[in-house]
Amino acid sequence: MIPFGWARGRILRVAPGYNPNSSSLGVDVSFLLFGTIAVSAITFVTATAVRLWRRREAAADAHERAAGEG
Amino acid sequence: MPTSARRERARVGAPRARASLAPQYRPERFGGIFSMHRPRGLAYVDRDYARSLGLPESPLWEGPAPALGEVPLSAPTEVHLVLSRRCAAGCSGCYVDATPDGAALSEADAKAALDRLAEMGVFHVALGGGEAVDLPYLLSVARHARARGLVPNLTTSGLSVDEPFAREAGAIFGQLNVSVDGLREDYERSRGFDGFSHAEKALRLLRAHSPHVGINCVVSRDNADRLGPLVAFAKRLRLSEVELLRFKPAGRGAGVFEDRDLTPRQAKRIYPRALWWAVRHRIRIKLDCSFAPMIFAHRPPKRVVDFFGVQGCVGGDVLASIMPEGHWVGCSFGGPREGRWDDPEVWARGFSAFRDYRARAPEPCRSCDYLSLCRGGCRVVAQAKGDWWQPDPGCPRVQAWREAHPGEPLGSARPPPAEGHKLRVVG
Repeated sequence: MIPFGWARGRILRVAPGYNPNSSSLGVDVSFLLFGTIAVSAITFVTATAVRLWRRREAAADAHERAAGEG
Repeated sequence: MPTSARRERARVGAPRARASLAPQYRPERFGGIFSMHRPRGLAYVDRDYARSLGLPESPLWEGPAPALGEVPLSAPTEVHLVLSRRCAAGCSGCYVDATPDGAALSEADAKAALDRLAEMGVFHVALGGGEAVDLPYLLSVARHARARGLVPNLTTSGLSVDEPFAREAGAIFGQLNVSVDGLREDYERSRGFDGFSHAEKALRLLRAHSPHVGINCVVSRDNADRLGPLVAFAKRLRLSEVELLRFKPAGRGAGVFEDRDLTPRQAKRIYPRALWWAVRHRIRIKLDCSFAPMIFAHRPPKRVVDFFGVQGCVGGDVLASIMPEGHWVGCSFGGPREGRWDDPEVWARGFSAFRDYRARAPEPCRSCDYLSLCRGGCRVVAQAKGDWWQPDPGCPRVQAWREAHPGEPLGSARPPPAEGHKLRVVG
């Protein structure tokens, strides 16, 4: 089971959004307004999204294994 | 990339039918990258974090972990697929010298290139041109990208966008931006023709079918002081973002660069203005990579800008382009040709004209706290001002250094002749 709370390691960077521009790479400066508060908030949201996904993956893998054995 | 790493990436990142919004993952030497679709974005994590999620050990993790950005990524996170140099608009500053009969990647080649990018582990592709919407196979190519797990994004002039296109595009593309350099006469002054009403119509059509629609605005000396109304216009149309792009000396833009390049005062003000517009209009404001020196000149907290991926020239690392003639370049605005899109070795061996600047950076870049992020600013602007390997002359810090050292030329990071970098501006 993937633990939901505390994790080892760090989220190093989050580049929000998709870049539609076919000639250069845009970066959202709106987040810079909020400094380290934005870093903390985005880290929390990202960690939650990633860990939810991994938990679902792990559960699905377990289900597939059980189905295969059955 | 080792075959085992490719297999691992495919297995871990394989989208499952039950969870089409599931993130994708690829290992990197520092750890790994998740491409997320809700919320949208890329998350870079270290090795311990990836391990704590139960992800498998990667062959890339042998040896000590480099810091993020210390070595090039195993593949770009985003590739610009410049589908054609074909466009009838005739904009006076067109970066790709587009004409009605310009070169184009064939549909088969474009799809094969997307297959190759998916194999490499690329997450996002930005389709463009020329006017990509004029290509009859654009939507087919975008659907192919989706089928291969890539997120296709698009920038268009909007001239050819109609209701059926908008409906389909809204369902396929991740983000859709329309190029609008100003309202009404500002648009005409910038592009050389009166296309604002077409652009506005395209924005409304696209917005009716997708919430992820925005404006791309090329910022030049003419319009830099009149962008507030454009941002307000974007807000009125309930668009998701305004992306501000520095005018580049590429294609037909090279001939008018001296007239359109920002004044030092305008360059210094673009970042605080962008923040103000974000607050005033409550809309996402993006600045493109070539504006990085103008951001760093205000000395934002390094930890924060690093976390949000504010970087200068990331050509040949985070980003690369495939041109209509079928070759790789580090940036669609310029740099040497690096080999054909189907050459499997090109990523590992090429792009030194982009990757090598930091190691040899001259003053004032060398002593700049932001060098590891900024990477010397825009190489294409540096080239237009005399030397690809010099610091970006538009950087406020570089300009201050020149004032403090009158008569002294800017240094160069040019490698010794034996290393033989040949540069040719493409675009």
